[in-house]
Amino acid sequence: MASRFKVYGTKVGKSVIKETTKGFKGSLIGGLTDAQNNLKILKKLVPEAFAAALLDQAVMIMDKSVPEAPRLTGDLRRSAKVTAPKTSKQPEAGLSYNMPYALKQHETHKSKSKFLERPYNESLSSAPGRIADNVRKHMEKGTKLSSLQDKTYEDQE
Amino acid sequence: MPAQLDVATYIATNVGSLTLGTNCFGGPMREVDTASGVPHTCVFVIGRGGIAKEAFADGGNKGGLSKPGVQVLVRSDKNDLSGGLSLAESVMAVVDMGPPTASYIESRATTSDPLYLGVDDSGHHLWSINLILTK
Repeated sequence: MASRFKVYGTKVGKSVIKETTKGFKGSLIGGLTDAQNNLKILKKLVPEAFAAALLDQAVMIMDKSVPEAPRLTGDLRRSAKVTAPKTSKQPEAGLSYNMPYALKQHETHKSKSKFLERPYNESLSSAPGRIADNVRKHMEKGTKLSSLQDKTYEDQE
Repeated sequence: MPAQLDVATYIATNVGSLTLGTNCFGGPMREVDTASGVPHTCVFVIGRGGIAKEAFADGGNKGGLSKPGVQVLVRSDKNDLSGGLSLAESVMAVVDMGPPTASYIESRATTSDPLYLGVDDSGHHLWSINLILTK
């Protein structure tokens, strides 16, 4: 039985091995070469898609955090930044508020403390599924590491 | 008992200089008020919710591990950086990597050292110790 499947961005599926009455039509050597080429493509594609998915996750957390941050002048909210992964080998996305008093506000504010930690903790249980979905999405789109950009925030109020 | 009271009780029991209700409290940080008995040097344990419960695959019995979070705030005496740091480290040594009571499996700090927050308007140094408990 002929089978057809497609892994995003790879060559699998381009030349399907067909079953005939006399056996299989197709080249075993060609199949192996295709498979090796596909693995090479995947090896590059998956880490970059993962880095992009990680950035998506970080942006989602910061989008929830910024409206929860204390606001007096708006400087704290405007200092929020999500830093995009710079490498696909061990990708890291950074979430930060870059004001001298940010840490103290985060830890001790009477009503809005933990304005970053709370959305982060809330996201943990759904993170694996969401990141897996986004990896698929970015593989489909062919997102490159070089296209990932830091995100900064404007004060909305 | 809420996790913040469990941890406050455990700290007061295991750190010699602290007494529950005197200079170790379960609840939000309070201003210094010598009349009502809130001294400068104090420890406050605040419930922070923690992270989602890890459910067991137990055929519908709804068992699981709870992961409550608490924050321990350490306030030094006025302008007493070394005394405050010493107290914060004593508290950290007691609560990190050990269960605060028999009903908990473990207690882990999210940082290796107490997190220094700086000085408040009255000259008290502040440290934060964030814990994730498992029960």
